[in-house]
Amino acid sequence: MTDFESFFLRATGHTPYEYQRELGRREQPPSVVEVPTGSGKTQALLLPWLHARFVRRSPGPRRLVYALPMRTLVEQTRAVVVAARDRLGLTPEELPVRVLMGGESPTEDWRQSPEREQVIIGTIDMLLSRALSRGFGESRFQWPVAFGLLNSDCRWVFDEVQLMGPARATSAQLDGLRAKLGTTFPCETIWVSATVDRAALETVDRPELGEVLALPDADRRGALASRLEATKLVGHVDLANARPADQPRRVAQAVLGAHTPGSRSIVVLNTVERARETARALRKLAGGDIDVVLLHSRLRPPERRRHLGEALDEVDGSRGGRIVVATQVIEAGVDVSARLLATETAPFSSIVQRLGRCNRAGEHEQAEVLWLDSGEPDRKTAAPYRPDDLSHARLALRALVGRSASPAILEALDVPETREQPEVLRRRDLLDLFDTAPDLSGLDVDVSRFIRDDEERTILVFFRDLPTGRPADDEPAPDRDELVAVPAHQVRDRSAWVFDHVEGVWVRGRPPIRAGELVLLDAAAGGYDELDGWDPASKAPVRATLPAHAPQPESIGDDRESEAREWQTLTRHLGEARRFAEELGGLLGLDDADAAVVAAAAALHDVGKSHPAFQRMLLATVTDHAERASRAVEPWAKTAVRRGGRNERRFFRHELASALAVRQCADGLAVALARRELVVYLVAAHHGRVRLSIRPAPDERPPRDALDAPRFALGVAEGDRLPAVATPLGELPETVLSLACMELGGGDRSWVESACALRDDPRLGPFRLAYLEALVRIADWRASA
Amino acid sequence: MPELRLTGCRARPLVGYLKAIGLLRVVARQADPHARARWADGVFELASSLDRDELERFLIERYAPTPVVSPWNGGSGFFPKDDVAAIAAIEADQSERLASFREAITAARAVLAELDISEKPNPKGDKPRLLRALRGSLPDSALEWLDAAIVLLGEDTRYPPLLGSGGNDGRYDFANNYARAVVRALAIGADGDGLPQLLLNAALDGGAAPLVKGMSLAHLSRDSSPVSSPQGEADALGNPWELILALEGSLTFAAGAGRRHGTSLPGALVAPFTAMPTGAGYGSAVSGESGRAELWLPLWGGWASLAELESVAREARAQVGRRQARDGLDFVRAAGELGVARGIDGFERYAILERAGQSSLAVPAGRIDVRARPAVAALRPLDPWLDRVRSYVRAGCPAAHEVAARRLERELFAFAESGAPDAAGRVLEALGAIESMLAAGGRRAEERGLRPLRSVPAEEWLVAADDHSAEFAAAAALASLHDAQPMSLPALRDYLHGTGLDDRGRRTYVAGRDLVPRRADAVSRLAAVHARRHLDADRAERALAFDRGVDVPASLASALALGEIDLERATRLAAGLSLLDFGGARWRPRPAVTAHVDPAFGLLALGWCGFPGSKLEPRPGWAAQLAAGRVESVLREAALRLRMAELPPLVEPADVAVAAPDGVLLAAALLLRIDDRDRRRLASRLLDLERRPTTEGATT
Repeated sequence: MTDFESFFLRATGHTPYEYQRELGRREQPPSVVEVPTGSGKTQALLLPWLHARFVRRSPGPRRLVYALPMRTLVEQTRAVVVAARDRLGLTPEELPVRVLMGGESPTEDWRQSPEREQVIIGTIDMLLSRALSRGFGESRFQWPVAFGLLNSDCRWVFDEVQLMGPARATSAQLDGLRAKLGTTFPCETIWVSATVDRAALETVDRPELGEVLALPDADRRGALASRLEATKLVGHVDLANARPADQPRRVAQAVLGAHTPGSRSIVVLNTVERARETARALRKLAGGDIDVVLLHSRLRPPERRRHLGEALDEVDGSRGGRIVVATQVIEAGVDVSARLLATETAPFSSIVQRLGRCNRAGEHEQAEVLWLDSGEPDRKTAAPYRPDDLSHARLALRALVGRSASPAILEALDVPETREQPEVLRRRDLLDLFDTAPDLSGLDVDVSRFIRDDEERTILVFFRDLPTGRPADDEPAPDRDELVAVPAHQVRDRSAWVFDHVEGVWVRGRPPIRAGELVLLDAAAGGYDELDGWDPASKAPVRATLPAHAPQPESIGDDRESEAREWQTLTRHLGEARRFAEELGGLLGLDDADAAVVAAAAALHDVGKSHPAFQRMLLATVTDHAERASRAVEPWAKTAVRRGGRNERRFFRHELASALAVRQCADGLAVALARRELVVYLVAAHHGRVRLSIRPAPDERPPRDALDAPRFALGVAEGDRLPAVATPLGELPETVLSLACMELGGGDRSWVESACALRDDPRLGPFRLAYLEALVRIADWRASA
Repeated sequence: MPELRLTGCRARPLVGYLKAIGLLRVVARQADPHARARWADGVFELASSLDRDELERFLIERYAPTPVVSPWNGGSGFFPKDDVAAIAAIEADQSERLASFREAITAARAVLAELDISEKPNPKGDKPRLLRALRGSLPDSALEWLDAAIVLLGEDTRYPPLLGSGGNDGRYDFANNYARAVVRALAIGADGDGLPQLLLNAALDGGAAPLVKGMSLAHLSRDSSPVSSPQGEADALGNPWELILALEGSLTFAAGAGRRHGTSLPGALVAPFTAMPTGAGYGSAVSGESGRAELWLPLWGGWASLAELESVAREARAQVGRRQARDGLDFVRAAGELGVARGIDGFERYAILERAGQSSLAVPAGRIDVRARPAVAALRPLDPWLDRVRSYVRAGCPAAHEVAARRLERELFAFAESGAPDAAGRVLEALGAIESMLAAGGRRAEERGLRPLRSVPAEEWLVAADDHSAEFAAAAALASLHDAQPMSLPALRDYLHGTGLDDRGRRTYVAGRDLVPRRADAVSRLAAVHARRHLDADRAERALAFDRGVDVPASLASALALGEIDLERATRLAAGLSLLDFGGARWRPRPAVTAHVDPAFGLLALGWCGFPGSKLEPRPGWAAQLAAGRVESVLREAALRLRMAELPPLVEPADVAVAAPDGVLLAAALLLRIDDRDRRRLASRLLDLERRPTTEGATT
């Protein structure tokens, strides 16, 4: 047994299939792994990476990013990874496994430790939106960090590719553009599926698919054969004449008629509404002996975990058994098998996936499929699918009625299906998305068209009790366990609240709300049921949970990171930040030039805090007069008093003052600054608010103490005076700040020109730039902790 | 670095502007990445490593045209019925400078073949699919044209008006004409005859050149001749370099992701520097042409690089407060609120007009400066109501309402452009006019969701429109009159406009009726308001005078009574101001009036309201009597009343009546509230205060 095989055995308790062994043998993974669901894909992708990182200590991406098309798969995948980790005796500290879901999760911030191995699991929505710098459910000021970290030093695995829609082209383009534009550390992408539509992955910037690893014959004949040959008899239920309102009952009757007590049945419906109604009808007709479990995408994580657990649990053979009512969520690789599977007409590729949930391992002698046939579809009844696709599927299904359908038989059928022309992410789109300024000043950019093909824009809603009719001033940001993804149009008639990142308060959301936005709903107005999930018609108050100690969301002007556990002088903080930056650079193995730039940016990042307005803000937290006087002798970076960090100058951003000072006066430092424009950019960007351009906050007025300043932005006015500051790189001399560079054609070289030059520099580019940006911010976080 | 002033590249006409941007683009991309440019007095200046001769040589010998292909348009040179000569000539060429053009043509042909499209695609059929496929697979260099000409939004296709309807204008196809121009200007497949240089010099420096036949620039430089063939004006004479450089320039205005994927921009606005038309600010269009859109093209005076300009253009920020600019009015407001990228000094505004026959014109509509005009922020609270007015007009309304609405738009635009008090005043007048008209129209507006303007604070408008004239002060004082307990009586605005309150106490156009004559002169109307107010208040057993309002000096009210104030204007202003909410207004009038107070007016004023420490009230019929010309009789009654209050006048009513102002004017003037100091002064001048009962307390 090879080293990898015994490693695999130790991690999983069984020996690898041939294809798994093959993956373990390779230095470079293939681009595509074409194997069916249920053949141990997660382990096949996880263990070679783990073996390389922890046993062979070979270089390669530190992060394994596992992207799945459905939320239901995230927990299941996490369980497989955690099980393997535990069997291998690795601790959660040695191998953190993070689930990325949007919302706050202070204890599990995947961004904190880029130098360590991590497994990050999430839906394609969550992961790709972050890789496109528009993270769903994420603060806009954090977007560049996620963008930087997810586009460097990662091995991306896209599983169940056939369900990814336009995300196939997007993931391929991202991979191609990373190769063309360059990343600090290599990034790799592996697509995994039973059947891969190769053309969908061959895109303009990544024209060659690359190597495909298909299931070897040894596996087809061997252990996986029972799965491939497992049979099921197809039956037909004619619902063509049933009124829509009557359908749930008719479906329930048909399913109950075919259900075998003591076994599991699965019913797959095309829409959440129909699934919910069918589950209700089943509960009514089935009596208490049969468990009815509803599974769809519009559930909060706790309910989703519970429902999924109930759906997957062993069925007690002595009782009535279980009926799982599900939407398409079941199509992806949920590891569940039923004796009876009932399904509505769906595009044939979906039918194949659904049928895969029936008698998966050939464990039943008499497995059955019930085709719930509502007749010839029209545009309305076919939704969310195209009528054409359903018509073709009906033809194919009709031919199968009364016959047995094994995966092998289904694979051989050629049923036409519409190929959507996806919206392809181009280089210019990516370069635009790198700039987050439009979103900070009022244009909410929606990247969902690069991620999903359904026209429905989904938002992330959560429920709160609003005794005063509106959210509290310090209403905390949602915890991830509160969030449920729902179509935006379904909240149109309700009062919905979104966080205004400019004013720093929750305001009524006006449609159209951007996809992935966090939206607060009044719990008293109903809309969610713990049994049925999101239900816009439900009027019963929702049980709302308030996260303990969760902070408010971030706004442009807030500077809560300046409120720490203890007072810290500016000079000390700069020193600490530089130390952490150097340490991080060393652990990561950054090249010397990059390491030096990150360290220099960290050493200078907060010099703008010497601005009198900032110092007054910190000292205002001291009530004792004598203490204030004694503290006023040197500049501070952090106060120990938590007050919400509001500056007398609205929108004041110290990092802008820092960057301007470094830009103007770096010559005065003891150390000559290499790559000065890059250092200046990194200094400016360290809170995600000042990046490719300098512009005032929306509707910002000049500061009251500088009304005549010819230019101002983010609380900094032309002519503001920064005193000399002692930094780890020597003293930065006193500076009179100039904002001439904020203008088009301003000064010798405008800010935009410098920043665009960095973005367009072939030695840097957007991915490297964002990665360095993230590192400086992480060093700052560490120095602030 | 040589600085070239290119007099052929001016901000007007449109082709001149685009040509200039095109020059910056090709020089920065292909000759000197450090090239910079600026506008000075409407003329383009370019600073790069190239001097004038080198610039010419670069363009003639080395410049590689950016690929521009439109295989989605009939006439584009990709379909059997098209003129394919130019595209064929480029494909047949071997030179390096056309390599990327050839690559783009090949890629376009490959997509057409893959989708099996062999003739002009149907907009409802294959076209969306084709466009998506092209956007997914054209080389980056050819993508810029697609993004400039077309914005794909899901199933929806939007056409930035700068380039017509997806790179065509009527039957004119930009791309095919560009290809022809390239063939001509670069002398592809021909021997150099020196003509390209002559044409280029004319394009750069202006001046005459032997123009080329069959070379049109469509609306980029169109006069009003008709368009009839796919080549554009078949007999048109044009300069191929102008078209080449102008289209190169237009590529700079391709929408970036911020606009393309922004969730808050409707319609064609996804294109940068594009606005919905506002019919204001330029001479009215030729009849038969409707406004399709406006272009607001930035002018800047600092030396800017291409990267900067591209960065500014892709987002093309123009904000009114937090909102994105939508129409011309919003743009001019954004320019006054500094809601645009800093460094832009002004905008060259063009109205894109559509003629019958679908081809368009780009009409210069003036230059708007970017500078702080703080007063313009007063427009913000009007926005929701203005939106309703616009949709009311769009849905079809009486012609007179439409005229009034258009006038309002014009005045709004003029105010946003100047920020000046007189312009603000004209906005108020227009507001008053349209309100009266809507109220007269009754139910129609209400049924379309348009109700009387409300909740707009007066303060900002008082500051914005105050020209320190007596008229404005009088108007503000009149408009400010209200009761501490509203609801039960009509408000001043109801008298002026004929609005009223419905059962739920909400102001409505429906329940209104004319309380005073509509079509009388201003003085008579104000006098009638006064008389009517007395009648209404008396019936309701309420104080006859309005009990709240802005106080004015007695001299102002007297001047009004003496006919020294333009009451027509004051009333027009008051009609607008009366729609605003005076609660919390701190503004005080500072009119330039120092006149002596007429004694008859003074005596009446004291009889009307007494003075601090001695409160009096008029009798219910007085205002009506004055309006009817019975001045002396009212004076006598007022004197009697003062005497009964032990405040005997020092003047005889009959004496002052001889030279008293006209009764109608007096009735109008007496509506105003005179400030405490002046009422005390009047009292000490006109009354024998010695005989006042001591219990009342002394006044000074």
